[in-house]
Formats: sequence, structure tokens, C-alpha cells
Amino acid sequence: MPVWFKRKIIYFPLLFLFLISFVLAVPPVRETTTFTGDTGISIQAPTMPYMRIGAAGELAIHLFNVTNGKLLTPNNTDIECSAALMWPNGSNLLIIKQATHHDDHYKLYFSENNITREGFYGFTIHCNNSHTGGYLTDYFRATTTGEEVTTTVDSEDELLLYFVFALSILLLAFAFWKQDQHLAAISGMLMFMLGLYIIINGFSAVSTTLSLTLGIVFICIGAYIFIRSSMENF
Amino acid sequence: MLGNMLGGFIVILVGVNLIPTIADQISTAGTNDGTVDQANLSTVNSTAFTILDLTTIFFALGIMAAGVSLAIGGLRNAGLV
Repeated sequence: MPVWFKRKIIYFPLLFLFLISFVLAVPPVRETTTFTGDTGISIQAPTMPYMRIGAAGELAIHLFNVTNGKLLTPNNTDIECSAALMWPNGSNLLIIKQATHHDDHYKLYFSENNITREGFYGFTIHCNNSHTGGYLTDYFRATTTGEEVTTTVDSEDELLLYFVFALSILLLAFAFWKQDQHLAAISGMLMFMLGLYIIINGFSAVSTTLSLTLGIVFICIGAYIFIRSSMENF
Repeated sequence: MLGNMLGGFIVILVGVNLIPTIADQISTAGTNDGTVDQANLSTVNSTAFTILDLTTIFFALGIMAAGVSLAIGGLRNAGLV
């Protein structure tokens, strides 16, 4: 057996390994399906992304035939609608077994005792008769004002953030100048607190992702300075 | 020697007093089971909360390192280490 072959023989198992996939490959199943058009019910309900806590309300549900787009009214069909509202943790809050018929659409009612906490609520509306059906799943957020919650930092808070940052940098510079590990440790603590504040409250109008990153970076730098300065004596 | 010990004690004192504040802030940010309380926050998601939850541990590690450093410094000056 030639020497070059002996050297290359090590590559053969690898080659076989790659070729196994071709041997094991199963030919695709040839299946012919005929598209006969969409069928079912399209559910349209004008839900708002934000709701006020403790607000009572009603939801109008309009049903449409997916095939031809025609409105399905409670009078000309035997379709019934049910709905489930979920707490922010996913457990059932309210189950409505049958929606009320109202002119050409259906209505769901909820009282002021239903939405009592802040957070995201999920809901599913399901309409069907014996041979067709449809569903709609969505979510909304309950807030104290019924409007979008925006995280803003007041200008005074922002100034305080700058001040704490400047103080921590100043302390660090002073620690290097005086070779004082304790000042560096306090500087690290300040950076810790700064990072924590930025993570929780955000930073000015900076996007959530960026302020989170900034907060995490500050915490990491603070942890490094704090722990590293304490290890100077080791 | 004395200045070193005094500085170390001040660092530990400040750190120990800051730990409850940090722990309170983190518990405000999320619930104990690791889920984020959306009622209080809009910035922290569950991944960030995991990192946030570690902050107290790192802070405590820093204080512990300061304490160990103080003890080692003292022992070294006494010629025991």
C-alpha cells in the first residue's frame, strides 16, 4: 500500500460520514393538493391597544364570510360567539359563553370589576356554528390612564445622573492619583447605583434597548472597579 | 496601617448600608419568581431582570472582597501572612 494512501486514509471515515446523509435521504412525498379557496369566518373586533383600569366597556364583533366577504349577521346565521379574557399571567379572568346579539353584529360586555390590574391582558374570541368557524386572538394593555405608558426621566433626575457619573469618575481619577483603593471602591459603588437606576428608570429619551445596555455596562464597570480595588491587598 | 483599616471600614459601612436600597430597587423592578412586574416598569424585560437580579450578589461580593482585603492587610502588617 503506497505511503500517500496510508496518509490519506484518515480522510475516508470523514468522507463516509458526509455521504451518509445522501444515503439516508428520503425522497420527498409527492402530494397533489387542489386549492379550493379559503373558507371560514373572519372576526373583526375593534380592540384598543390600551385600556384604563376599572373601565367597563363593550366590544362589537362583526363576522364576515371569508369566501365572499359578506357580513354574517345574527339574524341570517346560526353562528354563536364566545370569548375568554386572560389575566396577565395567562389564567382565565372572564369567560363569556355566548355573546349578545345586537343588530347586525355581536357584542361582548365587561364590567368595571374585570380589569383591575395593570399589565397585558390576552383574549380570544371564537365564533362558530356546526360546520364553520373562526377565531381572533389578541392582547391589550391596561394602564391607569388608559393611554400608552412612556418612561421619561425628569430633567432634574437627568442632571442628578450626570452629577453622580461625574462624581464617580472624579473619585476614580482621585483614587488613581492618590493610589487609594477605598476611593476607587466607593466610585465603583456609585457606578453600580447609576447602572441600576438607568436599568429601572431608563435614560432620557434613549431607546429601551440602549438604556438597558448602558445600565448593564455601568453595573459591570462598577462591579469590576469595586471588586478589583478591594483585591489590591491580595 | 490605621488609615487603611479606617478606609476599609468606611467602604464596608457604605456598602452594607447601600445593599438594602439595591435589593429594594430590584424587588420593585420584578417579582420574586423572576417574572417582571409590568405594573411598575416598562423598561425591564425578563432577560434584563435576570441580570438585574445578579446585581445584589455582585455588590455583596464587592463588600466581601473589601472585608477580606481589610483582614489580609491587617494580618500582613502584623506579619502573620
